[in-house]
Amino acid sequence: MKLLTKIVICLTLALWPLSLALTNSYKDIGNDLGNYFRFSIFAPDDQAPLIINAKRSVYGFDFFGRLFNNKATFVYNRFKANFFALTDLNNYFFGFHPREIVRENLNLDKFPFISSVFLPYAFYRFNLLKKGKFLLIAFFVFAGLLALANFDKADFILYPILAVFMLHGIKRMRTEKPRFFVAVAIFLVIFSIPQYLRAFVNLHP
Amino acid sequence: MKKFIPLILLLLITVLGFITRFYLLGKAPAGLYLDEAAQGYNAYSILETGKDEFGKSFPIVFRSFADFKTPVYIYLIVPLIPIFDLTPFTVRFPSFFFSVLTIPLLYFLIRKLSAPPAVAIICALMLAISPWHILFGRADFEANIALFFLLLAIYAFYSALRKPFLLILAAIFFVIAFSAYHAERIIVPLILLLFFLRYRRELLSPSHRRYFPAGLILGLLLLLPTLSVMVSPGFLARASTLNIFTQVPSGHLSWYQGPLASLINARWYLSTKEFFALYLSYFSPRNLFFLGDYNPRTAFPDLAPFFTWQFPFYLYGFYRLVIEKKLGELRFLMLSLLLVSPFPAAITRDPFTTIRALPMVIPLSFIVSLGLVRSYQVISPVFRKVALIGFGIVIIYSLVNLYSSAIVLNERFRAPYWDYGWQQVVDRLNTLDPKLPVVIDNARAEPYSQILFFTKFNPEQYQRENFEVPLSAYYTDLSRNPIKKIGRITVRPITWEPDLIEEQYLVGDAIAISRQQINENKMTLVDEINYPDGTPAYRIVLTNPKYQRAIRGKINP
Repeated sequence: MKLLTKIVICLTLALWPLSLALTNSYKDIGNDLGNYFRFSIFAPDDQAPLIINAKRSVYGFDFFGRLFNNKATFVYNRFKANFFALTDLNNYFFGFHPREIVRENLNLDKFPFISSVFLPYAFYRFNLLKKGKFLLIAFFVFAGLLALANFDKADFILYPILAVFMLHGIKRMRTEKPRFFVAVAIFLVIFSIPQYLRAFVNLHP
Repeated sequence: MKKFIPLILLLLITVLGFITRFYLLGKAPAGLYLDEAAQGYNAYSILETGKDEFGKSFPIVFRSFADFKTPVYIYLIVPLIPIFDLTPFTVRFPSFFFSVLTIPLLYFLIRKLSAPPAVAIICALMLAISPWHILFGRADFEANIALFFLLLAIYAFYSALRKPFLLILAAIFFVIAFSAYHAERIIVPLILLLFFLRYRRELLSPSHRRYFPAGLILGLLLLLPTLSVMVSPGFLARASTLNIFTQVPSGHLSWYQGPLASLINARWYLSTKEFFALYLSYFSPRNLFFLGDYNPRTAFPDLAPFFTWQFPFYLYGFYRLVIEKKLGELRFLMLSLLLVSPFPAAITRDPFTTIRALPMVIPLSFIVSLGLVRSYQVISPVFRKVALIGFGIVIIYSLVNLYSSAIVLNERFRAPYWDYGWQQVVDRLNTLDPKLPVVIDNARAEPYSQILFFTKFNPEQYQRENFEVPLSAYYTDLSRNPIKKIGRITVRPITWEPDLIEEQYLVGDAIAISRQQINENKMTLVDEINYPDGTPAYRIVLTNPKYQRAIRGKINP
């Protein structure tokens, strides 16, 4: 059981760092963070006034037009786009939607998708996680800060928090539902073979 | 008096649900989509002749374009036509009606499962103002009817645990839900399986021993016709084009031909991963609170299925639902609906389709409500009044946001997706020379249903003059006849060379009939029907055979 748990932990946590290492993306992290606010949600957009005015002109009552279509809502929508992407589990386990990008999806799978089972279990046993509330708040604060600009690759900051939650889920499930844990572990091992192979092949065609 | 307060609130919430769905019903969305027109005309045809547009008597499922439409909605329209006439309002009325009824039904279902009135009332309110549920309540969507009957069947089932004879009624409602929309053909059996596993002791107890098998047999008997059609080649062909397991799986690396190809592109891995990705996407805050449905007809502009302010309550409510075992049967029901509802949508390749996952709106509304109520309970009593005022302001803001999106922006920017303009085309054709034939171009669209609908064309004559497949092959052969005769109107692709030499009216979109073509061929622009944003939708032109003969005579003397 201990060996199986170690395998599960390794397979769950190794994919994101491995993918970053294989793509040499880790070299960009500092660069991305340095340029973070250049790609800010507040960056000017020539198209913004045109879009806002086109929508505003539709309203018979200008107050509503102004209420829902102004510079602040434009910026807020950019923030929401980033924030909800960062809080989307599909981002971490599937690289967003499988057919969202017409070419092969180049967005990284951060964790093996079978490991997604551990995250809801971690939340189910959230009360038993020491400093769980602190970690959860930290996750949303970081997600909020990252959402102020294009978060591409800088979302690696969230990795330690998610890793703690995943570890908690693994630990609790192994203790409380050992049979289910073994079943998940077997599936994880089987499905990790193509997933990890693809991490190498996909990035070195 | 105090015990009537929840009912008074429920009445007010139902009135709110009525207003949000009834305001400009039939006019917004502007236009009438081809499926709506086809359903409306087939209902008209059934009313007038007892047969559908293909001449089939009282079909079990309705052949429609290259697809089959479920029968419940169409038969519901039939008795409305003598009352309201054949109009977009009539066609959308059943969806509206059952959408409003779903609100009190949900309240009573939650109350039946012993939840406190506050949770039930807030849940009814969340459903009444839900953009997801309102959208499907304002247009002709069978999914809405199926959802109502699914909830009614569940209500009858829970009632039957105490009054066994109600199992018969539950069986009938489950069959109606099953037959009303394709997604329910997966959802209903899964829900029934979960119910059986959960309540097998009660169902197999002496008190239920007579009614359980009776309900089962009655349900199967009522389902037989639908099941027999479901295994027909035509129906299966349609199902196989949609599901992810018959397609090249997402993530297939076509360029990789190396020694590990059987693992790298393993179908079992890619298809399983795609299914889970699709399934999880129905819980994604990004889809629920920001992106919404990709289809412009099943999403309001700038408005996701849920309001952004509901996001924290969604997270908290989800957590509470999972840990609050004291919610008992309600927890079981909501978790069952939540986990089962995305299945039909997750096996089809489209990303986040709100129509196939519509039953999810119920548990998700409940989750948000639970989050709201539990958050309110942890607030210090000193701040509760402030919280209530804040909540009221948020609800008003949400309603204004709904109006802005569902009425104002939707009409302006989504009219092309709702096939706006055919009513205006028919109205204009009715004012033109009735002796001249009309050709309506169908190279990029299928407007014949809208023409039949708005002309209220004699169904008997249409059935006589048009043929697609023999009636014996109605359910099996999906071959199409692209040419439709509707009196003096022919719906077919325009063939310019022969069509210009005939004196007739040509109707087409801005691509089919460009300004340049009109000028070059000296045609008369009779009318240009514009979308609400001012861009041209359709053009009606009168050909100029004299000019054509003259120039063709010069080229080929």
